Amino acid sequence: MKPRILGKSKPVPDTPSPSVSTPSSTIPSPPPQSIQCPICNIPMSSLIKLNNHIDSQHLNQRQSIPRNHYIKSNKCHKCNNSSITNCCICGLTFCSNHINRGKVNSLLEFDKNGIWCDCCIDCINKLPNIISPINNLTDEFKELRNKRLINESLKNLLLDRRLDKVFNWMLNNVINEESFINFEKSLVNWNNQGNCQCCLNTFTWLNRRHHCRICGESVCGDLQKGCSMIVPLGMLFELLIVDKDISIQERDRIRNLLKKDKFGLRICKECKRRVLNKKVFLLDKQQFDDEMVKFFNIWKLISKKLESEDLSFIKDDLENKLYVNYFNKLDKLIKDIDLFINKGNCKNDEIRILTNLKNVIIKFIKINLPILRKSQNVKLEKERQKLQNIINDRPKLSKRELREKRDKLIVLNEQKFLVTEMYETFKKQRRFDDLKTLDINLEDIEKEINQLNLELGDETFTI
Amino acid sequence: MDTINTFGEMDLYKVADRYVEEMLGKDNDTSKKSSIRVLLLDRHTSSIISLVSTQSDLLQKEVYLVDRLENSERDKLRNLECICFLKPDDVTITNLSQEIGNPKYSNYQIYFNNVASKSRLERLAESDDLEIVNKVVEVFQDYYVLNKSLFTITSIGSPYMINNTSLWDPNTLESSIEGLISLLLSLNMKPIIRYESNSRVASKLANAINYEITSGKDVIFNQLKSNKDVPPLLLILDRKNDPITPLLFPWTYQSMINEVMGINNVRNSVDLSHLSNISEELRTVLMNQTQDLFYEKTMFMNFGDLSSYLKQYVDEYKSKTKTNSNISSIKDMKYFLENYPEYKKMSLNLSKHMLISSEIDKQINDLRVWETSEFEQNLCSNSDTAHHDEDLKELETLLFDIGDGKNKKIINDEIKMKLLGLYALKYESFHANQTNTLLKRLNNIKFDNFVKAIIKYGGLKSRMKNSENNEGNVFNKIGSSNVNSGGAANHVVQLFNNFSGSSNEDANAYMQFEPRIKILLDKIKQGKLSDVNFPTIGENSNNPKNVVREVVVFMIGGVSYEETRIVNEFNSKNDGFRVVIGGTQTINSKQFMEEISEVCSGN
Repeated sequence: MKPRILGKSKPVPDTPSPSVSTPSSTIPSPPPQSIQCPICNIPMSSLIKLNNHIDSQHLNQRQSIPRNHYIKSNKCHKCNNSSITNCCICGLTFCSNHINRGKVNSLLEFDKNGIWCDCCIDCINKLPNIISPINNLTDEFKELRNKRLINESLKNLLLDRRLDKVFNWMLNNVINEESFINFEKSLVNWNNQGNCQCCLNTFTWLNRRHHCRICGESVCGDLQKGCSMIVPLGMLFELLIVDKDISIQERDRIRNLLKKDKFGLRICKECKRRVLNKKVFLLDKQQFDDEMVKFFNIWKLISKKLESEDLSFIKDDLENKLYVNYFNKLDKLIKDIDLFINKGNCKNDEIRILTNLKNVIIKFIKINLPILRKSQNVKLEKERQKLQNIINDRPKLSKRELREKRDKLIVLNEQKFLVTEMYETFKKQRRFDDLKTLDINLEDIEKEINQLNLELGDETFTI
Repeated sequence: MDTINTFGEMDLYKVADRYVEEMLGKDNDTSKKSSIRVLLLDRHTSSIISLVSTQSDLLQKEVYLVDRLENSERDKLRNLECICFLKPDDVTITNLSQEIGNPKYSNYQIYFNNVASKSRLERLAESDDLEIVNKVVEVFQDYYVLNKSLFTITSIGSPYMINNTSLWDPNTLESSIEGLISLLLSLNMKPIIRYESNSRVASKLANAINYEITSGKDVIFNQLKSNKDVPPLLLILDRKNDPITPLLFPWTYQSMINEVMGINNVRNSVDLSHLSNISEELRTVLMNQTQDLFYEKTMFMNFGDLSSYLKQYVDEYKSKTKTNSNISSIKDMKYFLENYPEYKKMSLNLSKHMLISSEIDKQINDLRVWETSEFEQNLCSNSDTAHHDEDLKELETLLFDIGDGKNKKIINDEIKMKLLGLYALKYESFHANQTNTLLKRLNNIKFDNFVKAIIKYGGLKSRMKNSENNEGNVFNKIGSSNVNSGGAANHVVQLFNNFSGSSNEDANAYMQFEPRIKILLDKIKQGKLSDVNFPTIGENSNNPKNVVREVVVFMIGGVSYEETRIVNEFNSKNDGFRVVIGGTQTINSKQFMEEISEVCSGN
């Protein structure tokens, strides 16, 4: 929307209702003291004010800015200068030094589609945080990939079928040279082209023509270029069982069979890419579940547990033991990693990863062990205090009481001895009814002994 | 609504953090088992990432192996996940296609640091037979972050063609476009673009950026969601319009480090290995303000304030170690040991800054910067030619080592060259200009060439005309509002303040000069930048009031750290404005002089 210039064009060019725009003829020459807005009849102090007022209030009727939050005051909110301009966002009044312009929408937010309004510096200062965008192309990428894969899938399916045939043959047939050669030729019709379908070199008496057994195209056998290669059946079998469900006995049977014979299928580069690569990848993935991952998982497990605990406070001995145990495990893990690295059959990258892992663990221990130590000390101190309290709290016994109680204890112990002896003899004589009463008796005596022991504490036997 | 003062900064480190988090942050979905991860980078992104995060940051995020995509020696580890952060250029796409055609890891998440064209995406999709790519995302960070509000593009080099400063070096132009586009995107900006009308390189870049934004080639620009009421501004400047600022010796910490030792753009580091008795850990030191709190506090301080602050820091360190130096009980010992890593860190940081500042101090004295800088400042902080005779006299003293030359070291040629260049620029149109006489007296071809080059590069003919609006003025005095508060009882501080001598203002004698960028920023704030000198292209409509709140300044020909300081000061003094500054590279006077001599060497 273009800014309007008073006097040259009609003041309210965009107002749809013609009845409203008619009073415009009075605008160019108003008496200076009584400028009024032609639309809402609010008095204005100057033409500039009127201009701003029309810009902000009437140019876009759909987005009118609510004004019921305006606060009436004639002082600037910031510096006490006299002022009558309201910030349209916070509603406070400001002088010209503290007011600026911004585009605001009807929800009182800054908006590039909003209309120009007076806004105070403070409101403008609340610039939104920058939200750095990301652009996710995953769907687009997958679409592109699928388009291509669908194009190829028909051919791949055909090749896959032939590989399945090979697999079934291995399972069900007697494997010998004759049967193999027959089978090999029955898979697909061989095409006799004049040049290699991979590297396009012409065949000569030096560069012999071969056939890929899976797709039937003519290819050269140059090992350097790798246009085609003879894949031993044993190796092929290992690849083919990757995504098949076969019992272990059956696997071992076939493996044994294939071990003796040195047959192989010639497979071209293109077929390898189309169907074999995936199987190689799957096989690799299965084989790679190794030590390194185990170390990592142990570390994750322990660190997760330790992080969920509050090390700065130890509740009881059990908890203490638990924590110490965790750290011991971490210590052992570091030693295990070292041992594993020193064994010497690691790849370089594996060593780098494990060294990093080790450093992370060491750092973790360095940070967390002191915390545990501190809280262990606190706990120890507390227990010591408690013990001290128990000792201090026990009522002191006078010497006489002490002597009496000791005597009593001795008597009771003798009684106990007698009763136990009686108990044994009754038992031998099988007088079970009397045993019951003796049982109760014995229990009472023991209770009393315990009570006395507790009261006497350390001074039981000192004289 | 949020409470007051929560308005966002325009902090490039925060932008970078968000992207690193996006790439390496742990998945929210907890069902997924975490695993060891590999991060693959290329030659561009490896420095981009090392500027904004450290190795321990990466380890924290379970990245246990970081390697380069180009490295073919990598081992096959097909049980690991791989995250790639790469620049989508031809070389990298080729490498990446090979990688996923014959994968070394189990699956790949690919993050491009700039807009990736559809054809490149197609190429990638074609090699993904195994369907192992499970994420392709564009994040936008094809630039180096050096400060919170300072960036450079990734190809460090002169932007100009040899012998012609009005033509771009094609590589740098491409890199500038890529860098700026990714910067604008990362800041969520669809800006209006203004450039200096007298510069062909600026106009060329402005048009190129505008084309990228409006052509719809980068769909992302139309998807930017922002509710900003006024569009941000991209201001493209040419160094030639202010050749003075990079020549003057700066007196604030970061600028001085760059002037004396040079801060490397690629690693944001300083090489200290030439100093004697340097421990291994301090051979190269990083100048990252987010990792070094002392630096963060002092980087914009002047040398006087810096030395007193450094002294404070040393005292603090001493008092901390002193309490532990008399380790009498086991408890003390334990306490000390438990806090040991922190002490080590602190002492390392301390020695780093001690080393740097003492080296700066040494150089200043060796090169007699106290004298030359005062002359520079007096010469350049006003544009009137009334003081010509005094200036000339002092220049002669410095150039020909007049005076008591017994004890003093001789000023080296490089500085003399600089001084003469400044004189030649200032009095270029003055009737009694003595440049040629001086050159004859010096009788040194090196001086002749340099003066010729700098006049050709940034002389009156080449610079923006200085009209009433002051936009072309390069000889400015600092506003009186900007006063240094000294007062610390430190030798250097006193020296610093005393040199202002009898001049009644308490402004610092060594910081009288004000870079032109300050005037431009003030004009932008007031909405008074002239349309003749700074024409606009791009989305111009709907902004009749010239209201701007966010500005990206891009300096072709290199940005000086002193200008970064001005921007930082401007940001902190003007709430509601946020400015970032960047350039084709960062420069100090030496690099600037070398570059000018190179590109303006012909006739």
